[in-house]
Amino acid sequence: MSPQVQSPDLLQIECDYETSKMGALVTFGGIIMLFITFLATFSSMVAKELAYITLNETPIIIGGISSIILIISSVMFHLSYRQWKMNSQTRISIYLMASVGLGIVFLLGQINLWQMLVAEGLTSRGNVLAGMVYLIGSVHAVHLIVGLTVLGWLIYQLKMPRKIKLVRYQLIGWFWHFLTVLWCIIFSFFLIVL
Amino acid sequence: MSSSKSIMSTHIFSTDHKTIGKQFLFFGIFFLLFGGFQALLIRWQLAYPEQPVPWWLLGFLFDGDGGIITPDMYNQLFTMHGTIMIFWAITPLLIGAFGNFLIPLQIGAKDMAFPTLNMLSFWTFFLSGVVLLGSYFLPMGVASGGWTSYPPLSLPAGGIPGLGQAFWTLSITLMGVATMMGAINYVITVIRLRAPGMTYFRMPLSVWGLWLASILNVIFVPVIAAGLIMLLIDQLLGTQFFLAGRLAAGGGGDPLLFQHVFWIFGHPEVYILILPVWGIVSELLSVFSRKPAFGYKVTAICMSTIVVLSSLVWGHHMYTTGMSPLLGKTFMFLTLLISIPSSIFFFNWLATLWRGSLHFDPPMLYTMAVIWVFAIGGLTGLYNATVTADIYLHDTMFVVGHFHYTMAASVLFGGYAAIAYWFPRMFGRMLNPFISKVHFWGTFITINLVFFNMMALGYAGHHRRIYNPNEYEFLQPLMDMNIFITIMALLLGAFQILYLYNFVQSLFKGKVAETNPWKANTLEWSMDYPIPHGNFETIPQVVNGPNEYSHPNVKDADWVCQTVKIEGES
Repeated sequence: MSPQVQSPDLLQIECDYETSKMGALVTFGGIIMLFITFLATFSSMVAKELAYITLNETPIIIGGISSIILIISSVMFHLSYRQWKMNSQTRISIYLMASVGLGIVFLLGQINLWQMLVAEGLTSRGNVLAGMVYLIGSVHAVHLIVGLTVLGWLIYQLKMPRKIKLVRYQLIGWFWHFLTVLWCIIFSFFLIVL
Repeated sequence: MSSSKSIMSTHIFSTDHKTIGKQFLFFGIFFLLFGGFQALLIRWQLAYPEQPVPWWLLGFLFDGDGGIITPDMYNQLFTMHGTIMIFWAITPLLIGAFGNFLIPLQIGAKDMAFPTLNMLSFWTFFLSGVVLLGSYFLPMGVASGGWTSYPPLSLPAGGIPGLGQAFWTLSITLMGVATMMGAINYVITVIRLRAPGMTYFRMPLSVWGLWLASILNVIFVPVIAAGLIMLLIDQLLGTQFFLAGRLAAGGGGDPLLFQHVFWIFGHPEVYILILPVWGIVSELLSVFSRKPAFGYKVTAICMSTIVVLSSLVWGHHMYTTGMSPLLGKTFMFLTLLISIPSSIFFFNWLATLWRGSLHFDPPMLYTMAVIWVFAIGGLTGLYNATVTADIYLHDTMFVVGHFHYTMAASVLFGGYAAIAYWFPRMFGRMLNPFISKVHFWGTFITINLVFFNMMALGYAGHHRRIYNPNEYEFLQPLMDMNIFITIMALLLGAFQILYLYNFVQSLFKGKVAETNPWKANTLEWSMDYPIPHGNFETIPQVVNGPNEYSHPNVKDADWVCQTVKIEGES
């Protein structure tokens, strides 16, 4: 009944560079569909005038600053990648830690922004548009926390003697940049629609 | 210790696609029986309303309520029957089991592109099943808002007590995550790991069907995931995305939004379930007719066209929600358009049979049953696609009969065909052909008598989801038909017990299969059983298409493996 198991050495599973990259792209495609659905639902609610949100300048400025912080975090990651490719160990961890730190600052900024909105009476139960803003922000934040965890793993791995695979470094970078671009699109969308 | 470790890694947490395929198969069969049993209880209530459930239908389960099925239980039964059959029975049986088992073997790969992700996919699926089953232990019972779980009914404000709906939503969300993991794997495996010479148009049509279904999964599962997340938050945290009117404390949202999101996923889901069957049928007809699949490329292109069209037709589920007539007509036109590619590959099937050397082995019988039931399911779909007819037929038993023909009967017979055909490859033994044939005829006759008569009931105005038809004077004359359908459904269930016996008996004591019992030419039959983890010692070089049967240049046999060059062929 049970198949004869060969030695793992014989199992040359072709999970190569291009395959991993393509897997990442298809995954991003799925995540994009998730957010497109949220944003389409949000626009439909706005179009049907189910609720209104009038924002003053402060939340917009905080949101803008948060976005810039996330962009800088992405840039930091890219710098670490360049250092790593040049085999220059000195600044990799610093750049990576800066990337993680800025990611955390972004999340704290989001929490601060939401508290501000709630204080203005925009609760998730009382206003469906506010609820959607919190929901979309939260789902993005969950992805960001996954990204931060992976970045933490990368920092840990860099301290290990064995060399990390190029494709892993690249894919982690892709994910982090993807989340930044995604956030910029979401934030711009909110600004335009609201 | 080492042997238990070995069992853990080879049979439980295995990354071998074949083992994972078998895990999905057993998982699917369990839920098929569970969901099927619930269908019999539904039928009992419709034929013998508020009469005690007999012992042979496990009537003791209802002892607390005088042995009868109460209205609440009835709602729970049809909700969980639909949910389980669609998401936990058909999906793992076709896409989970045969997607996993066949794709790497048939395209000449050593495994899936991401074997660990594949293993995680199964166990996430398993977890989702545990959460769903866990809801049976909740004090207020399981979900009862229908398999579509439309709000506001599915929200606390809709009147359904307890956490059953929340468990339902959570379990489907988890199932969606598992499906995504699998779909990403399938899509990438087909694109990246095809053996040299295995061009897209040399892939077996079964792989085409599974691959296209996975593409739909990748695109549309996130859509329903978004809707389910919003529904879950409405259920648990009190937001009001899908509440409106006096049920909403604040301004509220829009329940119709959920219907849109649900059907944007839901209609492609129909094709997600049926595409693998179309592929399997196309392939098996060729094998058992000993002829190349007629119009192979056209069939593949038609299936791809349907994938595109399936994403544009969700509105036909919502004609009665007050959509604008222009929009309704647009959805009707797009839906009817699907009948063109469907008809083309349907005629390709018939042309494959035409003047073929037909072998009526059990897999072929099941395959031919798909042609019949899919024809009826497809043709009755035209009525539902047409706005004027659908306004009358909407939410009647006609719709129930129609979608059971397409999603239950077609997929079930497709699954039986696949199991009968690949059983020797999966388990090294043959299913008992005599019992298989008895099962086939029993199932074929009863399933038609059940679902065709449901359509007749619906045409006479019998609504779905009603607890006691006797409460409606105009339905009382139809009670005899309801009783007849129930008796046929019970017989249908009995034949499935026979099938289960055959499956288990053959698994352990079935006739040992030869390497290629069907004389098929696809790659999975080119190896001896058991196929080791890693499949091929060396990656094969493919030189032929998948259906080279009765080739005039091959003299000593009527088949030739995809790796063997045919003389005189360029």
